[in-house]
Amino acid sequence: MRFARNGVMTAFPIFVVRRLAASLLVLVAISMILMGIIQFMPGDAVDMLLRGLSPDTVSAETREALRRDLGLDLPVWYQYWNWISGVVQGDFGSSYTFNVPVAPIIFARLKTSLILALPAIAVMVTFGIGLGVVAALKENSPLDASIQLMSLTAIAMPAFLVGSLFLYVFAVQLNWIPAAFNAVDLSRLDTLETIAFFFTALIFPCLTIAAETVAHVLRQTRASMIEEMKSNYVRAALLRGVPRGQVILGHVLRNSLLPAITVIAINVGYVLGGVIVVEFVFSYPGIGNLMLSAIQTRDVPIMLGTMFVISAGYVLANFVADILYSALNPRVRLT
Amino acid sequence: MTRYNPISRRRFVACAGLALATTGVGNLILPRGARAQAVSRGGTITLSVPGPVSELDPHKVVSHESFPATFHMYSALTRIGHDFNAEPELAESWSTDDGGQTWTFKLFKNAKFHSGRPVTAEDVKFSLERVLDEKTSPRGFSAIGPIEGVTAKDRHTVVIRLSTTYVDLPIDLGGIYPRIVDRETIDKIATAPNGTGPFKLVKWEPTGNTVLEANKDYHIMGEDGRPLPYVDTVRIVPIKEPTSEFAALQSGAIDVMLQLPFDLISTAQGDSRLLVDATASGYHSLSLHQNPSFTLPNDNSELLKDKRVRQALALAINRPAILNLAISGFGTVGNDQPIPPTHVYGHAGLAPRKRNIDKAKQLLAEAGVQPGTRMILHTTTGRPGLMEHGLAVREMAKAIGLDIAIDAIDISRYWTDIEYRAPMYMDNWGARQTINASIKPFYETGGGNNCAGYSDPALDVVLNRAESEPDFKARKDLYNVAMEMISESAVTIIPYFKGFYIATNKSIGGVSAHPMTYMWLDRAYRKA
Repeated sequence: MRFARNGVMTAFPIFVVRRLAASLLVLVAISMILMGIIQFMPGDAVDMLLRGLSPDTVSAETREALRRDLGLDLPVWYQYWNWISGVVQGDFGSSYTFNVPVAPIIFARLKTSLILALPAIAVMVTFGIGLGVVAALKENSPLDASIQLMSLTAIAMPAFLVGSLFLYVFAVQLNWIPAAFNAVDLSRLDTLETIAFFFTALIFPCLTIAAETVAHVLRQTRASMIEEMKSNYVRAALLRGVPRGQVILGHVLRNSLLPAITVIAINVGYVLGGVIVVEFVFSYPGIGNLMLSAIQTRDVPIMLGTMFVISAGYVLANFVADILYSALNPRVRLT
Repeated sequence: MTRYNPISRRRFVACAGLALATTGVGNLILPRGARAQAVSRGGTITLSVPGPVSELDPHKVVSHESFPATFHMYSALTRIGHDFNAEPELAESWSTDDGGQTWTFKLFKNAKFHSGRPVTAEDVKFSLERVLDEKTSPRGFSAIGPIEGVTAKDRHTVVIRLSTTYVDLPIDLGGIYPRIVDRETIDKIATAPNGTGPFKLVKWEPTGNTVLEANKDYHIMGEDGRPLPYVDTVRIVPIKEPTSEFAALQSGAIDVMLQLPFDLISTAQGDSRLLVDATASGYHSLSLHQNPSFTLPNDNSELLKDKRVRQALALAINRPAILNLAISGFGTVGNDQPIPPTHVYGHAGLAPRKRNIDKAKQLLAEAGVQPGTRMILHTTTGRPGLMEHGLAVREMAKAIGLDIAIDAIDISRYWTDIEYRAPMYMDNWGARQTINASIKPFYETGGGNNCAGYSDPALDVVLNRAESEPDFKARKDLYNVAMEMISESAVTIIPYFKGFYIATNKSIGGVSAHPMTYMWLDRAYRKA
C-alpha cells in the first residue's frame, strides 16, 4: 500500500481504530483467562465462608444452598456470560464477603490509587527522562556514574524495604507522616489541613513507587540517547554546524524516546496496578490492596473486578503508547 | 431456684495467677492495671484490626476483624468476662429450676434497640431461633449449647429448654453469634444494622474503615453512674501489615492494636509510649489426622493411625525449645490436650511430656516403623509461629529417624484446603468460652472442630457425662479423665499454649486483653 505525503495523516484515524479494536479484543481475551484462572483455584467462596469448621459440621444440603445463593452451581460459561454482560453495563456483581455491589468499591479504590499513581507517573516521566538525558550527555563522567549507581540501587532495593525504611524514619521516628493512611480521620480536617495531609501522606509512597520506575525509564533513555548520539545522521548534522542543542532536542531526544515510551507504558501499567507492595506497606486503600484482600477471602467478584480493571489499565497504557509511537514515528502506522 | 455461678471471679483470678506463677510464665502479665484511674468521657478511640469489617450481620459473621463491630452494635443476653464467667448484658439475671436443663433469663426493662424500640422476649426468641438455623447461621448454629426450644414467657422473660442438663449455657449465650437482632428490620441487617449494643453504626466502608458512635440510651451504667460507653466515637481501621500497624500505634495514629504479633512484643514492652496487656489464649497444635481427605505421594502419614507412632513423635519434641522458637517464649509449655494450666479446669497432675528419644525409638520399633520413613507436614507462614513450629518438629524428629518434609501452603487456601483434611498439619486455635466448647467439639466423634478426625467411643461417653454434670467437682474430675485420654492419644500434639497480647497508647484506659481475643471498648476512655 502506498501513501501520499498527506496519506500518512489520513491513515492516523484508521490506525487508532485498529489499535482500539485490538485492545478491546485483548480485554475480552483477558476476561476469559481471568474467569478460567478462577475456576482452577482450589476451593470456593463457600469453603471460605465455612473455614475453621469441620467439613462434616454443615450439611451438604446447606452447602449446596449457599453455593446456589452465590451462583456457583451454574456452568462456567453461564457464570462468565452473567459477569461480562454485567461488566459491559458497569455492574461487576456483588461481593461474597461484603454482600454489596462491587463496582462502587472498585472504582472508589481505583480513584484512590490514581491519586497516588498520577504523581508517581509524573515523577517517573520527568525524572526518568531528565536524568537519562543528563546521564547520556555526560557519558562516563562522575555525574553519569552517580546517576547509574543511584538507579542500580533503586532497582536492587525492593519496594517493601524502601517503604518500610521511609515509614520507620518519617512516621515512627520523626512523626512527619501518618504511618497508616487510613488511620487518619479526614472528617476532622479542614481544606488546608486535608491538602497538607495528602501531600505529606502521599510523598513517600509516591517516592517508593517512583524510585524503581524512574530507574527503569532512566536507564532506557540513557541507552537510547547514547546509541542515537553515535548515529551517522547526528555526526553529519553536527559536522554541518547545526547547533548541538538543536540536534539533541530536535532529533536525538525524539528518536530516543521511542523505546523509552514502551518502558514508560509498562511502568504506567505497573503503577496503575496499585503497586500492591507499596499500598500494603503504607496501608493505602488502593485497588491493589483490595485485590490482595479479595484473594485472601476468595471473594471472586472483587478478584475478577480488580484484576480486570488493572488489566484494562495495562491495555490502556499500551494503547496510549502505540498512539504516541505513531505520533513520533509515522512509519509505525503502516504496520 | 438457684442462680448459677460455678466459679467465682476471685477464685479464677487466684487460680490463674497461681498457675502463672508456678509455671514460670514471666512474660504473661495479668491485665487491668489501669482500672484504678477515674474515667473521663468523650473523644474518639481508633482501633486497628488486620482486615476490614466484612459483615454486619452478627449471625453470619466470619472474620475475627468484624467482631469489634458486631459485638459493640449488638448485645447478647450475657457477656463473657475475662474470667470466663457470664456477666449481664441484655439479661440482668438468669436462673435454673432443674439443675441446668431449663433456664430463665430476665431482660433489662430499659434495654432498647438503636431505633428506640424496647427489646422484648420475642426479639430474643426470634434471634436465638435464627442462630439455631444452620441456613441463616451456618457458623453459629452449633455453638450455642444444646437448645431445644425458646419461649417468650412474658415481655421481659425468656425461657430456654435444653435437650440435656448444661450448666454453661449462660456463658455460651455471650459468644460470637447469639446476638439479639431486630426482627422488624431483619431484611436490612446486612447494611443497616439496628442493634442494642453500646455503639451504633455511623459509617461502614466495605473494605475500609468502620465508624461507630455512642448509643446514648445504652442500658448499662458506667462507673460515673451515667450510661456507657465513655467515648463518643470508635473508629475501626484495617491495617494489614503488622509492622505498619505497629508504626501507626507508635506514632499515635491509632490508639489500640487488636493483636500484637509475637515478634513485636519486646519492642512494644520497651516503648514508653505504649501499654502492653496479655492473657493466656489458645494454642498451636500438630494435628495427626486419623481419616485424612488426601495423601500425597511418598507420604507415610498413615502410620500416624498407630498410637505408638504418635506418642513417639510427641516424645521426640523439646517443648520449651519449640515454645521459644515459634512464639519467642510468650506462652506456657503444653501437654497435648487443649486446656492450659491457668484454666479453672486445668489438670494440675498432667505434666507435659519430657523429651525421651530412647522411649520414642522403642515405640517406633514396636510399631515397625523403619528409620528414614518419610512424612509430609503441612504448615503456613500466614500465622506467626506455625512455620517455625513445623520446622522445629522436622528437625527434632530426625533424632528418632523420621524424615519429615515441610509443605508450606499459602494462608489464602490453608483453612479451606488443609485444615481438617491433611494427614499431618499445624493448626492455630483460640480459647473457647467454656470447658465444654474447648474440648467436646475437638475430640468427640464427628465434632464440629475435630481437627484430627479422632474417634474414641470411651472418650465420647466421658465428654457427654461431663457436659451434663452440674456439680463442679464431679465435672472437673470427668474433664480430668478426658484430658488424660486426649493427651495419651497424642492425636493433637500441643507443645505450648499461646499468650494473647494487645498494645494501647498510654493515653487510653479501660482496655485489656480478653482471653477469647474479644475487644471491648465500651469501658475504654481517654485519660484526662
